[in-house]
Amino acid sequence: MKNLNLYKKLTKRSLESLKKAGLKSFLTLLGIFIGSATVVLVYELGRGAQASIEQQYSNMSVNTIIINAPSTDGEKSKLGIDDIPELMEIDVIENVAPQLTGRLPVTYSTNTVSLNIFGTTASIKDIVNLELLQGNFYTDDAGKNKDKVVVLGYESTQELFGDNFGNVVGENIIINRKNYEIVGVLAYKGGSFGPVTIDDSVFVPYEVSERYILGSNGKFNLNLIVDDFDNISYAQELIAEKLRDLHGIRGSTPEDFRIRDMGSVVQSAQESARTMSILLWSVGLIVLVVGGIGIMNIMYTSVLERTKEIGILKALGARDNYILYIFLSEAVILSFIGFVVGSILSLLIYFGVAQTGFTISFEPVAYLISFVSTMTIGTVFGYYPAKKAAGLNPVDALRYE
Amino acid sequence: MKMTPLQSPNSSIIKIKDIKRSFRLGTQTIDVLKGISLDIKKGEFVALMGPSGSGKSTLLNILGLLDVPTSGSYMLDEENVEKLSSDNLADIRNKKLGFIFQSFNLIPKVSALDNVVLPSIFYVKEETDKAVQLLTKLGLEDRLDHLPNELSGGQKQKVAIARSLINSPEILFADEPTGNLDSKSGDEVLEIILNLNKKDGKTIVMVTHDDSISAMADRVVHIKDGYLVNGL
Repeated sequence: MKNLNLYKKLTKRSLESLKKAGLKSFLTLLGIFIGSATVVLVYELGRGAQASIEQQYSNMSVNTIIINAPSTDGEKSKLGIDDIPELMEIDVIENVAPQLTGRLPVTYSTNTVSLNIFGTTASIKDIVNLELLQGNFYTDDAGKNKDKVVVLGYESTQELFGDNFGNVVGENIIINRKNYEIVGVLAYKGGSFGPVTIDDSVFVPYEVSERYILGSNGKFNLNLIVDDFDNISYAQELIAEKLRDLHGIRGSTPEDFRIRDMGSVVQSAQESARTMSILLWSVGLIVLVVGGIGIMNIMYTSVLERTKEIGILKALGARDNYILYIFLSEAVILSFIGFVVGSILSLLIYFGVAQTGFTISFEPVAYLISFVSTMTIGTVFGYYPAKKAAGLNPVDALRYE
Repeated sequence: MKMTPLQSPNSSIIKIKDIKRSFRLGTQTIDVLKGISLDIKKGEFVALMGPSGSGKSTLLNILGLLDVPTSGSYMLDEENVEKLSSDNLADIRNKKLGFIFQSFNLIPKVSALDNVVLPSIFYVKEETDKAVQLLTKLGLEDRLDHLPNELSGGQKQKVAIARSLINSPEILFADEPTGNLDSKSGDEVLEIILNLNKKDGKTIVMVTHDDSISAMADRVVHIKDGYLVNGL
């Protein structure tokens, strides 16, 4: 390509004809816009979902076993904290913490905010590895004595007392019209424990949360820590056996508890996220291919409109490749426009989705993937019409009106 | 303008033998050229004449390497061009041949100057200075940046002539170059072409209907129904 300037002018002619076609070329390019944007969003949503799974279980060890009551409309489950001493007797079980959670308004002075109530025993401190910023964690005696004490998560404290809170130990907050004394404040933890965010929780002794705050409205489960990952299934068997025994379940009577280990919970969450993302990827790819066909359509029109010009160029001694380059660069430019508009589109959608609080993660690499796939599709689909233009017989092309 | 010296005035620059060209039209085969042999010497001005449909334009296209004969042999400047690839043919068209068409065939939306420069960018380098010289010589120095649709017919044809000369070809092919022009600019264009032959020694092959034009040629070749009627 000796003269880039004149070459550019020849290429620019195709863009001018695109502009002239206006709405028509916009509609034809719509496929490539959407395809390009879809690729970006699929990637970002996939990463977002993955990050949200990772975040949700970030404070749970893979050695955790979760027992909860299946939601049956039959008899009430007997699963409860009374099972804990027996479960602790299983040799591979290191620790057990009950968990009763629900969301309720919490008031300090005139300030009322909605926070997670997390009813549990002191063992949660070791299981989640909680560190205290102020005061101490309540002991299991507090539960037995039904002491109205709480330990606040870092963000809970901020919401109740302001971002730069001072010493709040000894202050009282109101939950369900009853006063609770703050005995400790947790250091910032990040992440969550199952569906519950640690930092915006209010930890309450289990018995207190059950009797005065949540009752049967809370979500209950037991968290058990097994000593070694290899003992998980062994532990699960022993637990099931023990619970059937404790709850008096015999034969084919359905169990009133459900045992899951963290590994398989995370795995199934990841698998469903992956399935979703494969589905979305294929949608993205199909849209891109449709976009490619759009480009092919524009290119064919362009080749047809400029057949005479191709004939002139060939008569003047342009080699086949020169013609090929002119039309291929048109396809490349179209794809690039598609990518740029698609990127703007996906940025807008990204901000829109992020506003709704849906998990989406901004990923620059998604734009790279979208760029490569859009350019590839555009070039592949543009190649055939360009090749056709290049292969025209000069005299036939010249004669074309 | 570079001179093409006439070292051996009697040597053939074009030598075709028994050229046939047929076209398929559906199931029918139409023989347009039925066996034409012709020698054109370096520096010669040959006029191709004949009624419409006689095959004179087809012959000109084959001589100009724009079309490929169905059979027959073609020696162009002592090179056998029958088996050459389309790229080789493009290179020969670019370097050795110039074309002047009845309908000018300028690239629209590209300036007069760029139209003239165009063939040089397929060749060695961009000959902008030479393009300006050629256009100036043809009296178009104030039309360099005009687009083809801003030019008169005669000016368009002058731009086309300048374009055909940019790579200093040996042979010029002209297909009724005055056919779309009024008589005044037609005469001007003809004068230019005639000078290219007489002063610069270019070989010229021109298709024409006009007896007064063919009278200026060194030789007139008549074609009728795909055969040569006279000439060698």
